[in-house]
Amino acid sequence: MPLNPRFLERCRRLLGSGHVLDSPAALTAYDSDGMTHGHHRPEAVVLPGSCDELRQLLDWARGEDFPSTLRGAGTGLSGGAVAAQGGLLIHLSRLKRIVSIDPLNLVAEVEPGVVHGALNKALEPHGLFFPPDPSSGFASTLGGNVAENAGGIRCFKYGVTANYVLGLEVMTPAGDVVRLGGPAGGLGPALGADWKALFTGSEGLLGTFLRIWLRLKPLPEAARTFLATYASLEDASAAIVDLVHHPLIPVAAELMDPNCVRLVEASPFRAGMDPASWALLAEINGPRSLVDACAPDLEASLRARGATSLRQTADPDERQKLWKARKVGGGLPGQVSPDIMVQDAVIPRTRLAEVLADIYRESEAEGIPVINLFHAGDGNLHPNFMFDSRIPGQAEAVHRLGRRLMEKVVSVGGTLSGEHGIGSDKMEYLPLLFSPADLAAQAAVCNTFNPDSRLNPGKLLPQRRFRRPHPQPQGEGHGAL
Amino acid sequence: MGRFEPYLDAEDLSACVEAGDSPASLDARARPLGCTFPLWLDPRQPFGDLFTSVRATPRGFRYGSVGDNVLGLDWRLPNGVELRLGGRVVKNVTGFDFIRFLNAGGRRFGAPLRLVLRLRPLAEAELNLRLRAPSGAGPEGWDALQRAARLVRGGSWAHSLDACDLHATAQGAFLHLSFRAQAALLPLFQAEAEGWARGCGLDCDTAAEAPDGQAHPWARAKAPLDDCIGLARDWVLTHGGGVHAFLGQGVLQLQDPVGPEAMLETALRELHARLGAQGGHVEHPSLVPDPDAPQARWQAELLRRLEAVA
Repeated sequence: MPLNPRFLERCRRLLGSGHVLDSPAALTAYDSDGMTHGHHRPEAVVLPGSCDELRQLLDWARGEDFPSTLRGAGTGLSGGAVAAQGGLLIHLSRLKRIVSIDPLNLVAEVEPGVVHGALNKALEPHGLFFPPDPSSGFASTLGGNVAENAGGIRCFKYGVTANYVLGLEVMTPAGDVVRLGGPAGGLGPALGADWKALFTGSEGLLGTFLRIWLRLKPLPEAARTFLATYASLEDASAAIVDLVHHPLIPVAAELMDPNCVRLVEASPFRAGMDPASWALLAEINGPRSLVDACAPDLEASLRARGATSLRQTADPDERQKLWKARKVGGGLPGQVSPDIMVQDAVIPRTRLAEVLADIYRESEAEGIPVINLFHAGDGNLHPNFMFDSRIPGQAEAVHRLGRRLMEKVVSVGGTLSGEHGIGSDKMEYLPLLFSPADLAAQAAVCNTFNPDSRLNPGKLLPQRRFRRPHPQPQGEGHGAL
Repeated sequence: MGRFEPYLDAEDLSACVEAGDSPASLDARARPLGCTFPLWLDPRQPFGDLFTSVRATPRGFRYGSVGDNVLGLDWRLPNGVELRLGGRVVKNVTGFDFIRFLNAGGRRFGAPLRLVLRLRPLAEAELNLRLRAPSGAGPEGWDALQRAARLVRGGSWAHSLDACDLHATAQGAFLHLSFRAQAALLPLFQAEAEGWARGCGLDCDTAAEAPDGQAHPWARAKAPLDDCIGLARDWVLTHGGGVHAFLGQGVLQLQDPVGPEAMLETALRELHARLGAQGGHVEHPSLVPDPDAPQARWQAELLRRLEAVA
């Protein structure tokens, strides 16, 4: 069903006309998220400026028969924050208030549109930080991070967003406004099951976050970063398994393949790596005495696997330079290729060499270049397939590569996503992992809260299809995979 | 996709155990291979019972909740249908997070058949220290413990300690700190902890091993972190018994209080109301979920839908 014009008029009166967008030019910006292939244009976008306005909008939308989709910064990589079946897109970026920071209880209370990086900047004077760190943290919102159970580089030591969600105030599609947990991180007065665990990582299907309580950590006194290069994937993989077994638990263990290293070294962010090497970036942190005492042991461990070069630094500027090289490595493939498909899958860490070899073999056979840089300590792969959708057959080839990757990942005991979510991108692969009964149980959760699929349809699980009133845009240079 | 088969992968640090398997039995297999399940759980209880009844444990300070350390489950619904939930890898956002949802939730949604557990490398050595107030310290002793707990929780060692727990009885209280690492690193921690003790007016001594984890307390409470020591003090001085608090998770385990049951339950209800306002709670058989809360409706609806899964 098309949006009701009277609904939009009410929205304009509530939010001001500048916060209700329905012109084609304005809507173009919302066609996709960080996964840029496949376009889904909403019929209108609304930007509430307070949680009261958001609740009012959701109340009104409940009386209509069109789908609503929630969006933070739109940096997700699984097509989760797009209006896959048209309708209304609710952009939460104006809900960016850090309500409180409680240093004694190590808790921050935030609105869902607070940018991840803005929270960490606000925490710094308190000597605190929020450990999950998705690469998009400079822009992505905490509501989006919780909805996707975001991860990032520091997950190796600190875990994912779910480890830090103490409470959520949610509004369900049925209109219940419920506080699940809170600063104490428990069940709250209602007792019963831990529902906030189901809402975390629910990809916007179960309800809307109005308020979030997050656990914080004290900033470590010291950190030391190690950059080791290896001549072969096998040597690098062995070094990673050693890091996984290190009792101090490194903060991060990131691997860049030679294709990525070459790109970084040809950029202004070069870090002095041998362009033909596999580069392993690791870090330890904690009290200075412990970090200093552990450094020689970690260096010896990295050398023992045949590092062709190794350097370590505790200098903040030098460390930042090394991490910048890793972070830009994720963006550079997008600058040298018209289209890019960033995949996300997790495998047992002992199977890294085998699965990566498979990826290179398959990519070469399809004629699609691939760059691998990923969270090796967690076994979390991110192959970047580089292609040009204007060339006939390339989009289809990338789709085949994605499917074969998922088949391989599942065959070695892995899973379809470690941090990007299923979104609209990976629904077709779910039967590789789940039986019909497993999928029915997943659907039971969704249907408990969202039985008519009006919240974020077309994501995670097959749901009701809404009739679209308008043909969808076909962006030049971007084909649907 | 099939169900999980029992295994122990010491290289990738995960293991699949049967629900009837116990932590002691897993440890006997894992330790010779250089790995361990890091949380302290009652070693003789079956993992299946522990998963459905225990969320927080000693050593959760570093490793999180039981649910954080379970990677996958084979789960039998109340209607007998078997599901596979999660997987065997350390990051997984494929589908809804049933594992954290089901952890410590009893058996209302069914029961585990097999669990895939995240293991950790076995440390070369372990140091357990106790920080306690000198005898006769009185109320100042509790204040000193609070200061020390803030130093530990809010400082850089919080990134590396396994446990920071409070053990309190009417006879006295102490902080238990545990650090596992290479043997050469233990003196670094000992020197730091002795510094905390001196600064706060506490004594510091070495314990041979971690104290009992009290896996089956009389009641459990979840509170804001910084309230734990004050709540423990008030409970012990008013009701006797003991409190074992996990200070990194805000969990208090209340043990063997003294007094008429009705009076104790009234005190629990008051504590539950107070903590509930902050998103905390108290778990005790006398406290039941609110039947009028939306969560009760969600539970009934989810159970109805899961019952229909074939």
